[in-house]
Amino acid sequence: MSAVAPDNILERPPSARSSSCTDSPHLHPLRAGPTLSPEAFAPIRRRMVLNCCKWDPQVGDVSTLAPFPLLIGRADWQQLCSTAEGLARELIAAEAELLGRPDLHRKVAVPRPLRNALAEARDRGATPAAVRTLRFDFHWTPDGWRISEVNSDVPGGFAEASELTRLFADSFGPSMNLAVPGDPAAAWADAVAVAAGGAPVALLSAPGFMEDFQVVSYMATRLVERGVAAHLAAPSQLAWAAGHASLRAAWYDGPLGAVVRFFQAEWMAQLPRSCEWRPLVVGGRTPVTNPGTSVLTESKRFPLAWEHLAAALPTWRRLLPETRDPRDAPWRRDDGWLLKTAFCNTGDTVAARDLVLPQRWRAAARAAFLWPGQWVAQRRFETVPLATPSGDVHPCVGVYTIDGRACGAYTRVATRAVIDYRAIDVALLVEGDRVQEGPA
Amino acid sequence: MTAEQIFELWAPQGARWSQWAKPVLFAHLGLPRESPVSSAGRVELAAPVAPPSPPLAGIEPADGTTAVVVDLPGAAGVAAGLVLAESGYRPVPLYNAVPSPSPGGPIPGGSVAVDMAQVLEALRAGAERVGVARLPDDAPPAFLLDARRRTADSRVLQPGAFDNRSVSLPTDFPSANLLLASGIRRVIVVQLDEGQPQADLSHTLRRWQDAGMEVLVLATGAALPGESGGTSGGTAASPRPITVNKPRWYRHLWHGMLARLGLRTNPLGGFGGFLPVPSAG
Repeated sequence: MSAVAPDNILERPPSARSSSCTDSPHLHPLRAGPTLSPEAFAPIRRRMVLNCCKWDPQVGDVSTLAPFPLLIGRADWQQLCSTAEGLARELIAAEAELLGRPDLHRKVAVPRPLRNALAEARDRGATPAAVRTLRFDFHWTPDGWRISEVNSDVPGGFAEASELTRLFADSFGPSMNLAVPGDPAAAWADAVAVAAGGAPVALLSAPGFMEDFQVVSYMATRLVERGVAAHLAAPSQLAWAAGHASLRAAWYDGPLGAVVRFFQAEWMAQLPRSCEWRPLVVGGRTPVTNPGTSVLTESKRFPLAWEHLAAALPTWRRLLPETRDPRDAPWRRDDGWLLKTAFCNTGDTVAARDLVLPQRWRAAARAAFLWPGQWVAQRRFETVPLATPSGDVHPCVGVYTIDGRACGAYTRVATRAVIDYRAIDVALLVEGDRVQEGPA
Repeated sequence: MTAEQIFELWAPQGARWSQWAKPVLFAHLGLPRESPVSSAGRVELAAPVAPPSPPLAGIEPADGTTAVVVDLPGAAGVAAGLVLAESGYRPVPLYNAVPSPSPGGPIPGGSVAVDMAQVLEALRAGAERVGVARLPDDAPPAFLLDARRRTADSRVLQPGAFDNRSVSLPTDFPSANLLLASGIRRVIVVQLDEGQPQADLSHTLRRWQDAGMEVLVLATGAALPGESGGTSGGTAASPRPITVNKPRWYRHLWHGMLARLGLRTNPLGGFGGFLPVPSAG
């Protein structure tokens, strides 16, 4: 793709480092880049939907692809990468320790069938991981970066992180000295291809969930580019013999080199007995990504186990807001707390009195009262809005680590302080030699 | 004609409702079984076969106040869209089924829950006809759905089959506010029978009805042209006003999840139980 001519830039970005929150002690490390004209943006959108499996570019009245990028200074990006790698190291250590502590599995809301499988994994050894992928969601606050969660089980957003970012970088050309922060899909596919050893790979997802189908479809194309046969399938179509996985499907019936589980771990506990899901957690010899043990740290109740672990988790303790069992937090009278389910994804169950409709708040409060072990209360943090051509937004920078190395970001913006399914995907580009204007 | 050119004809950049067009099928136009690709990398256009037309004479030419939702099985929906394009409506394909389990691979015959081969072919063959209609950018929409999307074919939905069933959600459509602001005050649902719309679609229609839009149904009859036992032509019925019943879990926080949960009513479906949200975090 050729670089965009100046005429195709519809709107200049707000002045560098401008922010609606001028009293922030730290200047915002992000700023909006130039908005592409409709003529320049249309080919990017088209390429995303036709070639990169971005099949939900419109949600209701919201177009989910932003026509402008966000920019971050190189030093700020390196700081995020370093922090994410630290979080990943601590998480992996804590997860290994948690695996050996079945007494804590109920505390972090692991469903009973999974608890049994994890207890067995402690003794027999967990099924090996093909690659371990994590995504940490960072938000800029008056006190610096904070994280809202880690996507430890089935992180998505690869097409947006790899392709949308590259298309924007190509559009602006080298003259603007912008670089992509990484290609997480390539790093992931390289690792899975190696783990599979040239054998076919099955990518599991739940039927009916187009949001998930598009992720596995995109990742499958990246595997095919590497000469790996890739097949979309459902968990019920796996068969195991002596720990080795095979796919039993009409279009492919044979052994697998690796299994990609884009099917939430806690859902596996609901599968019928006829479905052989346990080797995804324990006893399998075919590598799986992410491994079933990731459910231990995917749980939003993971912080409730910290006090029982030897792992210190200093970076986590510094960046994650205080998290408590709903029975131990004053969320009913203090609006400084929010509620979410233990296995909340894409912000769908996040609730606070002033954040959601009264009906929804009442439903969440009732559920947290009746089933407190399935919920958490978390102290809210203030995010610093960012001025963009679309108005003030709240950015969330999801930094991937793949086998412990930071390698790119899935970035979204929302007009509200919660990132959910209505959030807009935006490319994050790294500015080459921008002078750092303040403390990071 | 390339896949991009076909997509551009169905969802031209400047048209008001193009952004809602679902790209899934267009992204698969190059699949071997349906569309042999020449050495030049171009999708070979099938011989222009005019799809049989459902009886839609009861729908008045577009005047900007009426939208259409076509909920017919398979390629019949595309055929209806082409007829409506000639009456001034902008067909907006909302087909959301992944047609093949193997990227770039052929669609295995008889083992895909909802076989999209004929719909793919109809979209390809009908692209030029949509272009010839020269619709204005603000032409009112005719949203095209596949009535088979949730049910599949029980003969096909065996354990080894690729389960590509899907559901229609309110977020697949513009809001009532946006439609009303665009001057659209009523919607005609084209479906096989005169009963209530499909349960998943009812969530959208009921929202529109609650916002003040009038909902009408046009029944094409159980046997469509091109369907088994059907004949060409058919009687031209008139749309009939209906009251869309409040569907189960209407406006429920987790309706999207529950709708998809409904897919597991087939014992061989891939669902395992209570599925709160998509896996993608």
